[in-house]
Amino acid sequence: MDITILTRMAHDIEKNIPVHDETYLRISEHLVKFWTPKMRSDFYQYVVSNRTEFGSTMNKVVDELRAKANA
Amino acid sequence: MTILSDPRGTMPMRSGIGEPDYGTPKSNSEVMVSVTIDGETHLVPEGTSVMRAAGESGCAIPKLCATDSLQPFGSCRMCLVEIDGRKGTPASCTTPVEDGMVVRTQTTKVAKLRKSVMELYISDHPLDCLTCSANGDCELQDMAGVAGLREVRYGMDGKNHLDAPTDSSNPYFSFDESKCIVCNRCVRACDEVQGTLALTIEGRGFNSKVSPGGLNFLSSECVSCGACVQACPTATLQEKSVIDLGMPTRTVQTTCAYCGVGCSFNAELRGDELVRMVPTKTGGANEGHSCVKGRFAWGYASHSDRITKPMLREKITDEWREVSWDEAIQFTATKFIAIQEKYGDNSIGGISSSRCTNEEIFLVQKMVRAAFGNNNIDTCARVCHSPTGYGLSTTYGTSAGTQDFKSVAHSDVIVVIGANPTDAHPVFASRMKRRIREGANLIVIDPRKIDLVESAHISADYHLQLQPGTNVAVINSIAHVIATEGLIDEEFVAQRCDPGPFKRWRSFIELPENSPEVVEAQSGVPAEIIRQAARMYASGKNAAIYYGLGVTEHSQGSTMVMGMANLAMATGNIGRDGVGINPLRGQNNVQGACDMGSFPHELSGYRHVSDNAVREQFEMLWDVKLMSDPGMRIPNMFDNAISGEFRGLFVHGEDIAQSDPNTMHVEKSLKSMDLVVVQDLFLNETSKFAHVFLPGTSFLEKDGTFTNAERRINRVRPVMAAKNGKQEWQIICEISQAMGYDMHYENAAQIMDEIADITPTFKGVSFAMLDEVGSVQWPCNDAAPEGTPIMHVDGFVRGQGQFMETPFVPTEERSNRKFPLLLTTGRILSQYNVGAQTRRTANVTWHPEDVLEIHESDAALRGIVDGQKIAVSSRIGETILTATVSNRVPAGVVHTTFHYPLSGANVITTEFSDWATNCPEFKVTAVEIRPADSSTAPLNDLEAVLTKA
Amino acid sequence: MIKVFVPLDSAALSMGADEVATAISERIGSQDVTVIRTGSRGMLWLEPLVEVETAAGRIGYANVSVDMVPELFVSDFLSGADHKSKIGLVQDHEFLKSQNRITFSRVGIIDPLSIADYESHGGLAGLRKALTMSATSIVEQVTESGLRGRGGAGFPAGIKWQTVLNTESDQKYICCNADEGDSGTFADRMLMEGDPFTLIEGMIIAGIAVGATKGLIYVRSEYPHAIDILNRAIAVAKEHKLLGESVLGSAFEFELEVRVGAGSYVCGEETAMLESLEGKRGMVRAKPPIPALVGLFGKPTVINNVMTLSAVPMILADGAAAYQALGDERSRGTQVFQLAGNIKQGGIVEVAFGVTLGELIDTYGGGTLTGRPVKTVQIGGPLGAYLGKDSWTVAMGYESLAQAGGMLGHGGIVVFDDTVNMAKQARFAMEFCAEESCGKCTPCRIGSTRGVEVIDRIVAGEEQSKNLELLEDLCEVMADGSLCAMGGLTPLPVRSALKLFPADFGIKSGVK
Repeated sequence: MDITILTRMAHDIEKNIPVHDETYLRISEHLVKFWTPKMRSDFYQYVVSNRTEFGSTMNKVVDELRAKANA
Repeated sequence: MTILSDPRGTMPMRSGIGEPDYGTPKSNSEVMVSVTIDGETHLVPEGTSVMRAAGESGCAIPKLCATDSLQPFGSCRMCLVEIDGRKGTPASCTTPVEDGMVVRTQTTKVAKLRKSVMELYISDHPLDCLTCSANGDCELQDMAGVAGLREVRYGMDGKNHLDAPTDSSNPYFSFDESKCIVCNRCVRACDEVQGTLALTIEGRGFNSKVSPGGLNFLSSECVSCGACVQACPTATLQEKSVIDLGMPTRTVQTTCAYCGVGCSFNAELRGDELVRMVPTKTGGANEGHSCVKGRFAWGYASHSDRITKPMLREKITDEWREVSWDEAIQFTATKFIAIQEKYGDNSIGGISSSRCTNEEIFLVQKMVRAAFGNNNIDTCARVCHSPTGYGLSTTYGTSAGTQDFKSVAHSDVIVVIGANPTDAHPVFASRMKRRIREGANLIVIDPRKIDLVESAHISADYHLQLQPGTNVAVINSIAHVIATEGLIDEEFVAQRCDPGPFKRWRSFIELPENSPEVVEAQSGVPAEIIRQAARMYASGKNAAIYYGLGVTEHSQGSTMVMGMANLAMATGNIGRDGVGINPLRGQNNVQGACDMGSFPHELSGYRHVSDNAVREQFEMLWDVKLMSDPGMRIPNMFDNAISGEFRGLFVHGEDIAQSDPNTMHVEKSLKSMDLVVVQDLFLNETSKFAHVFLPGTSFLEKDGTFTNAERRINRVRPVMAAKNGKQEWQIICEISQAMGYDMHYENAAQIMDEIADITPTFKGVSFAMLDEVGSVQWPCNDAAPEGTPIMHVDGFVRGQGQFMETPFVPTEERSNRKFPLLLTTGRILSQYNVGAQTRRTANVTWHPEDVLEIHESDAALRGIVDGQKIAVSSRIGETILTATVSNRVPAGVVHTTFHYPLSGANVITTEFSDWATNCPEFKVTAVEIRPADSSTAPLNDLEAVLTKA
Repeated sequence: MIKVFVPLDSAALSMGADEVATAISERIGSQDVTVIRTGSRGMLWLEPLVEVETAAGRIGYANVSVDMVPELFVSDFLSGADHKSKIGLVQDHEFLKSQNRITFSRVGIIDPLSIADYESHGGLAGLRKALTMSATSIVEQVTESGLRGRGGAGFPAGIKWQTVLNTESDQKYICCNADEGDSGTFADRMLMEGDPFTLIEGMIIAGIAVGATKGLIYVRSEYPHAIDILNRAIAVAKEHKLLGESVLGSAFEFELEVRVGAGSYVCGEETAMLESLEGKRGMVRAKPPIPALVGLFGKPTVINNVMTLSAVPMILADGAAAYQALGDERSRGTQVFQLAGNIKQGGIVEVAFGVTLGELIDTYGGGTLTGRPVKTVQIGGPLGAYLGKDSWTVAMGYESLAQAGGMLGHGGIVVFDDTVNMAKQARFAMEFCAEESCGKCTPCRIGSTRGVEVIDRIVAGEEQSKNLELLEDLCEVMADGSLCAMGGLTPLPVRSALKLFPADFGIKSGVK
């Protein structure tokens, strides 16, 4: 799947889940609940090499989920 | 034919094969009174008419102007009775019973009066019973018999209406004035049942006659709902199909397959030929009402375009080749397996259809999960109500509307957001309009001045005419007013909602950025109007929100659903009659498709595929290993098809090439696949890209259930034999089997048994149960054996109600210099969705093409006049439509329908979608418009589009 | 200052009263004379009846024409001098002297738009009294007075009011039925033109009594003068705080409005009138529910005729007993009879119930205008019964008339001499019903048209026996089966004409 589509979806999610203490939880829940494993892994890979394109929460989400997936 | 009759065997309770008619509506009083009728004493609810009491107790009283769908009128004077202690002979329809009343329905006096009345009627009525189309289903004929009329002493030479003309202008029914007995039932049905008030009585005395106003029925305000035809006791208003085919002789009760209202109908047949569809009074959703689609537009089922034999082709450029079922199924299975062998398990998937039965849908998702071995199943709800599921399950815990339709009769404030019920959900709209006429307040939030804003005896208190794409800003500002003006129902919130999220929401919503004054600039809605509407919603006793795709089909569709859910919680408008959050579902079985586990992430009953316990139950029952990760959504499938990962698709009864956004993109992805299997009634835009065409069954051939927008599970019964020779569920089973997965059922009832077995909210449902009670609203299980008309009564399904913050994030699709107008889309009454059915009926009389509504100032600026062909272009594509200059849309906004493939409305819609569910942003597309000239290429032409791409 | 009174009543206007008033005004010159426009005394054969105030009282000059004005001045009529048109003291006129004018006590005497005039002639006493009483005791007074509906049905007004009073509602209405459509009736119009404040006062009292804050007067469009005067009177009443948020400074609110009908006879039927007032087609409603419970816009509503409401101020002012003391049997108080048709002295006769039909026709009316013998009279409008000479001794009252086969209706009496053909009159009743039926119920809608046809066949001598039986069956279904009095009463004139004057129908001997 075209990575630009995934990044746009991710940005939409970032913008729409308001920033507060549960944001991290909600974003990661969302990705796990609705994205296919392939979408997630393609996206994680992209984020790792394009960190600045996303906010700190998304970076954190990706790191944690990657760690979990690799575990 | 069954006739309920009194002990004397003279008085039919029904005419023809229709339902029994008690003459006046049922009284809902709990106080019982005692009445003695013809010597027998009965207890009936207070407020019951003498007529109804008599009918219910088996002493039916003759009547003509009375019918139990209408308020008593008292005009025919056939129902006169004698009551002890009362002067004269009161009409039993207009006389309510009183405790201790003694009524005599069969005295010499009333018998003579009835005969005299009947003699008068017949003195102005054609004596052609034997050749009349209503012969056998004519109340006048019945009553003449009951009254014992043998001779018309007035003769037939007096003044009469026997030469009055017949109005055949309506394609579905005719109005033969010469047979009219001026009982006013049609006029009253139009007023009371439909609420259009199109009919009236013209003239007075002997010259009184029914008039649609204007030239004829077709050119009148009449919406062809059929209520007048149904109400007519004679052949005056008669279906043309009855005139042509003759009186039906048997009925099969079933459910309409158009919109999400889910009306119950009696399909009336003559032998095996369907003669007419008559709405049933016992239908829970419609209670005897109908619209032009369900009532009349069923002829597509027998249209010559129907494909009834399976067809194959190797390449989409080849001609179709008719094949046997075996060959088609074998071809399909072999090819799917081959793709999976080459490209992996995830390389194929399926799309289920909201037009099909729960049983068919359940099997399609079962086939994908069990036979395909992945979770790549999605449904067309993706492009309509997926945000409803997300929003309501997040806040309340259930992906469904909270009320039954009847609830609206208890509403004091009705808010309609992004929905156009009079066009898209007409039968529910009639209920809503009735309540508004009774005095309920109405707030409409819509960019367009829809009919509800101003129609017969109805006028919205507030119309918040917002810019497309600013729903969330407006709903937030309403909540802001409620929060900052002390209008929150603190007690309800404290008792029912999670306090943490509520606190967080409150501080968010009170921010100045959510104030009406700030939102005015974003939405174009005056701050004062927002404030007043907010106060009205919060301070009405019962306030209900009804919404449609104008809420969901946005980049913030899910946010908006949560915004509305917040509002209802904050004001305590949840959990009883007259309140709630109510999605008006577009298709007959959107609710069911979602319930049945058609989404890639959840199994039936909204249980996530990652839930091990749930998955294990399914694995045990289905004897197969299931995947625990979500599969692809429809847009993912398209994207992955283009990138080559996704190669095979089973499309069950959905024309994705016409109904999904950005046609060019959809078509490109379909062309990229190795196998596209379409199961449908007709060849369509999608089948142009298909390799296998599996003929489907129309709703008239199906056996199963539909679940409507109020969670009501209705039976769909086969009215005629399947034209393709197979039920669709059988076809699914056969493909699964051919792919190596053993799927087998004896009948559709067994599928429902399986659904009930594995889905807690359906536990109590079975065909046998539905056949007995008519219909039931889920949850239906041990905790609610009779179903659940209203949800969240004592507590939310998820426990505590969850407030969600709903920041307004404007869509990136904005008007700009190049595309200065915003296009939004909608439906029209006579057509349905992509028009596959309605375009194949006489409904085209009313809407022969899609048009673009444009404000007069925008039209003038561009030199566009009414009826002119215009080119509509977005950054995605261009199409040609006919302009209708109309002030229903504000300046800066244009609107079109998408019922005709030629219009290609989705050629221009964009790739943007809801952030949470990827429901497409159909309702906002920046466009420019110019008069079409010879140089304008019709880009909605497929080849032209693809060449350009 | 000398006062000259010239009627502005429509009946007088039709005889040139306006021109006479203008002519008088023009001749006055510098003399200290005022011309005051009043209602009519109800002696219609004397119109225009000009009156001059003298020390002895008001002297009348009858049938004054414009041509006659100069000679009246020459004869010094301003001092009450003799002239061939002089009829003497008006109050002593034979026609008036023995009447008992209560409702009409001020009509023809006062300036209809002068509240001072009204008050100095006893006006507002009833309202002032009512303002000191409880709602219940006002209703009690009306009940005790024995006042019954003067529109025709004769239903006790107090009981109707009590029902509305007992019914709780956020809004109630007082509706005055001034759709005076019966042939030979004009009392409502004359009162509205000659003394509108009496009606207004009656409606305010009704409002206070039942808790209604809004009143509507439904006047037929054929009454432009009455509509004009009522509207002006309402404006005056508002100015004097009779109407508005605080009636005469009290806590009671009452607003009043005139609504104009559109020429339909059946809109005089109370429920059709409500439909019309609601802006709908004038079609009769089935009862129950009665309007006192579910009336205008679904709210409890008092519907009374002009005459009923106009009797109320006097009942309150003088007490129920004074009114109740008048009358006969269960018909209490006075009735405003209207003499019309072929009558020598047509006009208003307000007397207590109990007067005989003969007295009304002969004593007051002076027999026919043509001088020929009276053949029959029709009482109660076009759908009232015809009565013959044998009923001359019937004492007028709701029950006594009913016993004689007639009905009082609105008190209009139309006289016919011996040249009338009663078959034509019977046919006319059916024709009238066919013309005016609202078309709702079958007996009235179809029956009236068939009635005309059957009568024609009888008169033409076709199968008389069979058709007479059919006509009787038709009359039965119309009388007993119709939804309202329109169809229900149509058989009354038909049956009575047939019974009294079968020869007029050309019924052959031997036919029964």
